[in-house]
This record gives sequence, C-alpha cells and structure tokens, in this order.
Amino acid sequence: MTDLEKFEGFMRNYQDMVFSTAVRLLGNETEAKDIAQTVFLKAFEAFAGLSQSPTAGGWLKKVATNLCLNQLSRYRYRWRFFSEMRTEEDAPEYVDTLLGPEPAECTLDETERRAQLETALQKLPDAQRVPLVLFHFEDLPYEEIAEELGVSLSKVKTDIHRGRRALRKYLRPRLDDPSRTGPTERSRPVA
Amino acid sequence: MSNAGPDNDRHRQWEALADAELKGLPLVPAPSGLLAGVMAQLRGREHRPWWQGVWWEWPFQAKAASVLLSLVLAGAFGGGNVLFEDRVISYSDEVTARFGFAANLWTMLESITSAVVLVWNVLGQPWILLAGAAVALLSLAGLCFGLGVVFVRVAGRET
Repeated sequence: MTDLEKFEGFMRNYQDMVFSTAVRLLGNETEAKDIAQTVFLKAFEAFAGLSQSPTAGGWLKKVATNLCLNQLSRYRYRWRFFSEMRTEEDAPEYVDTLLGPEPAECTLDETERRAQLETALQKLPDAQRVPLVLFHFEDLPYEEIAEELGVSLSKVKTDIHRGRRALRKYLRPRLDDPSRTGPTERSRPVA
Repeated sequence: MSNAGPDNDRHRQWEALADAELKGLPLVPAPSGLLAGVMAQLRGREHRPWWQGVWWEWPFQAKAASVLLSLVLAGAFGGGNVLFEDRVISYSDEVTARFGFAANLWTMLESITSAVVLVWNVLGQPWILLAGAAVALLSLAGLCFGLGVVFVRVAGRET
C-alpha cells in the first residue's frame, strides 16, 4: 500500500470531523471546504508522524481551528470592527430573527430538530458562533477564548450567552430557559 | 443574594443541557469533492518533475549543481570574470558599466549612514533619536488609520 493510499484511508476517517470543525467555526461551507483541504495538505506533509499517532485527531482539530481563526481575523474582523461601531448596541436580538417552533409546541422528529439546530448554529453571527463553538465543541475555557479572540472575558461570556439564547428554540424542552437573567460564572461546562 | 443559589443551579442545568445537545450533534458530512480534490492535488504533486517542485525537495546533485551555477553567475558580475573568455568578460564589463548608477547610489547611502552615525555620536543620547523615530512612526500609523476610517465610511455611505 503506497503512502497516498494510506493517506486516503486516513482522510476518510477524519474528513467529517475536520469539516465539521471548520464549518461550525466559519458558518460557511465553501470556506470550510477550503480550510479542510489546507488542513489535509498540511497533514500529508506530517503524515509520517501522524499516521501512527493516537493524537492525530487532536492535531487535525487544532490545525483546523487555528486556520479558521486566522481566516476570520484576516477577512472578517476588520470589516466587523467598522460595522460594529454603529450597530452593536442597536442591533436586534438574533434570537428574534430565527424561524423555528417554540419549545412548547415542538413536535419535530429528532433528526430534523438536530439538523435545524446545526443550521441555526451555523447562521449565528460570527461574534456569537465562534466563542460558542470554541466553548462547547473545543472545550476551551472562557479565559482562553478571550485570549484567542483578543476580546474581554465579559464579552465572551455575553456572546456565548446570547448564542445559547438564540439556539434555545432548537434545544430539547427539558428545562425552562433561565438564560434571560445572564451568564453564570463557571468556566467549564458540566459534563 | 437569596435567589443567587437556585438561579445559578438553573443556569448550570441550562448550560449543561446546551452543552450536551451541542456535543450530541452528529458530524457534518464533508462534501464529496473534498477527498477527491485533496487526492488530486497530492497525485499531481507526486507526478510532477522534480524541477517543478520546491528547491529544498530537489535531488542532492541538482541542489549542489544549482548552488554552483549560482556562484558562477554571481562571479561573472564580480571578481570571477577571469573564468570566462574575452567576449564574456567584455559583456560583463558592459553590464557593470550599465549598472554603474548603483555604485553611486551605494556611495550616497554610505554618506547618509556616516552622517546618521555622526549625529548619533554627537548627541550621545540615543533615546532622543529613538523617541523621534517612535513619534514619527506613530504619527504615520495614526494618519494611515485615520485615512482608512474615512475611506471605509465614504465607501459605506456610497454603497
């Protein structure tokens, strides 16, 4: 079996994970595909070490996350900086712009509900989606997210809180939503 | 204070629920073209001739030959012209004469550098120069930032 054939198998195993990481961080499938492609080209260069490594998945996820954050900071934050100067305070809550069933009348099939949650997550504004994904999917603590994104700790907490509120329509209605009163002080999610 | 305990508990439960729900989401399937695209690029790399690849991946002999050739070419424009025949030497002289202005430029740069060093020594206070340079750089950065803001606002207004 040649290196290329081995790499093809390796890529089949990890491509969904890498693509998921990228599309959830970027909220855009085309950009996510480009990033995933770059990740795997880098992985091929390091394939001698990666092929037998038990931490290959972590390596791929880390590279994908870093590339996505670079992409976001390079092409989006500059523009967001200017646009936020006038809209940050007056912008309507994103939660009100999402379409979806209210928890009480939720009769959706489980698969469909998850698909809607995924779509809603990807449609969140960058400022809410990126910290939310880093917190819930990448397990980064608030402090590290703040450092990574170059924003204050309180902004990270507020953005994650707003992101969760925006998604609440798609979460299973097992609990009442208490999130209207603000984020809590914990630094990691309860398992 | 009395409500802080139950509220925090409910928040934790809510966060735990959101965490479990989000972590429970299935992976997003990669587009079908991703694997094919990456493999096509890698196969293309594998089959391209060595000289189309990056220099540090060339065979050792080719790398050594290219270094040698570069040295010889560099020598042709400098002291290495003894290696060549008369017509090559005359061409080398011609080229040297054509780029004679570079020598003048170098002399000028040397003079400016000497002047700067002289001023530095006379002042004996390098921090003055450093502070001046810092102020000049900050002013330029401020000017660029200001112009950028103006352009973006104008562009935003026009669109």
